[in-house]
Amino acid sequence: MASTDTSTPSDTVPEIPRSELRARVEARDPDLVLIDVLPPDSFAAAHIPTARSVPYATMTESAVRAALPDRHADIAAYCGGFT
Amino acid sequence: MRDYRGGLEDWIAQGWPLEATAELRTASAGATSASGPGAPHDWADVFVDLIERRTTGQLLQLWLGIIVACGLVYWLAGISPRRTMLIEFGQPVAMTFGGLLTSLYFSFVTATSVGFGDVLPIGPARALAIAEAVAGLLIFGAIISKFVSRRQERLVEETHRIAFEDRLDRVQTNLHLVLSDLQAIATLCDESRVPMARIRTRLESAVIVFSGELRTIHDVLYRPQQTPEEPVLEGILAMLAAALQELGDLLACGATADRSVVLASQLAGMRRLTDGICGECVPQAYANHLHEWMDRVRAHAARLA
Repeated sequence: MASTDTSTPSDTVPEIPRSELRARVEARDPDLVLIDVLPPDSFAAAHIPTARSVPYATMTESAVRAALPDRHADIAAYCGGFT
Repeated sequence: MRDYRGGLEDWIAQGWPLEATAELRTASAGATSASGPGAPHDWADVFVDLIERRTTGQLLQLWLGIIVACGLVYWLAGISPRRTMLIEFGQPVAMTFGGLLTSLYFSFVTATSVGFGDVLPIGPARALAIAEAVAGLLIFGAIISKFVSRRQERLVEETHRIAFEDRLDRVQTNLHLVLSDLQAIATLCDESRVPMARIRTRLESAVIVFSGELRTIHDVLYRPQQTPEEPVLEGILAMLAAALQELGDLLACGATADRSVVLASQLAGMRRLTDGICGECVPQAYANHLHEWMDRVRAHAARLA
């Protein structure tokens, strides 16, 4: 992603534009694994379609492995809002 | 690995569809269906889940229920003398009231894994006694763990509550600052001596803080882990409405006519968020006067575009 003046650690993770995400979610793209890192109750209340819940608080290697059966899939993660 | 930076909030702000589940599709549930090598980990999770969903009272009832049911089985087996399940002092336990008490006594002694050994199981009763002892111990352990974690849960709740109140306090303080700064900018705007560039940057920074707080308020309304007390929420909504009105007036002032990219995008974001703040669109029902405030917030925000 393009470098910005306000460089934070999160900038090292490339961004997925919302238009691309929307299109791939709509198409139910099997190559995209979408992860919701919000708490389980938030996930239950509302989440982006096709998303899997991997709450940040319980994010361990085994949990992530279990949620991501295909290592070669495209992974996108999201949380509450712009952070 | 890529990051959807806007997150759920941005998705909601676009008005795109969401899903909700009654049951949680957590990572562990996904692994169960995959039935990989992580299986032992999963049944433990399922077990813990089962316990967590029951109250202490329910577990206690289940425990007592198992003991009484097993006691009755030991006793009823005595209907036919050849099938007696319990022996006391070398004699089979009879189908009398005394026999029932003895059976229940044996059941308790077994389930608590005390095992005095004064009453003995024979034949199929041995298998039942072992199963009862295992189940009794597990459930009893679960009850104990409930008691232990009770205090901890309360502490966690308390911590959440304090953090939440802190957050609301911050929203109030910041809204106040934003409101007074917007008013100060409005007076500057009327005087033509102050350079436009200075007014513009000051307005930008105030709007950035404002939109951050608006996001928090939107969050509180839409994903309430906790609901603020009514007077607190009313105060916040009233201040939000006042600040939005002030901002609307200020934008009408000539000096701010040409908006920078930053300001325009912040305002657009605020519009999207406030679109979701009205009496009928918030997911939770509040008191009527709160709904009125929400409607007023949206009405004032309509001028921002």
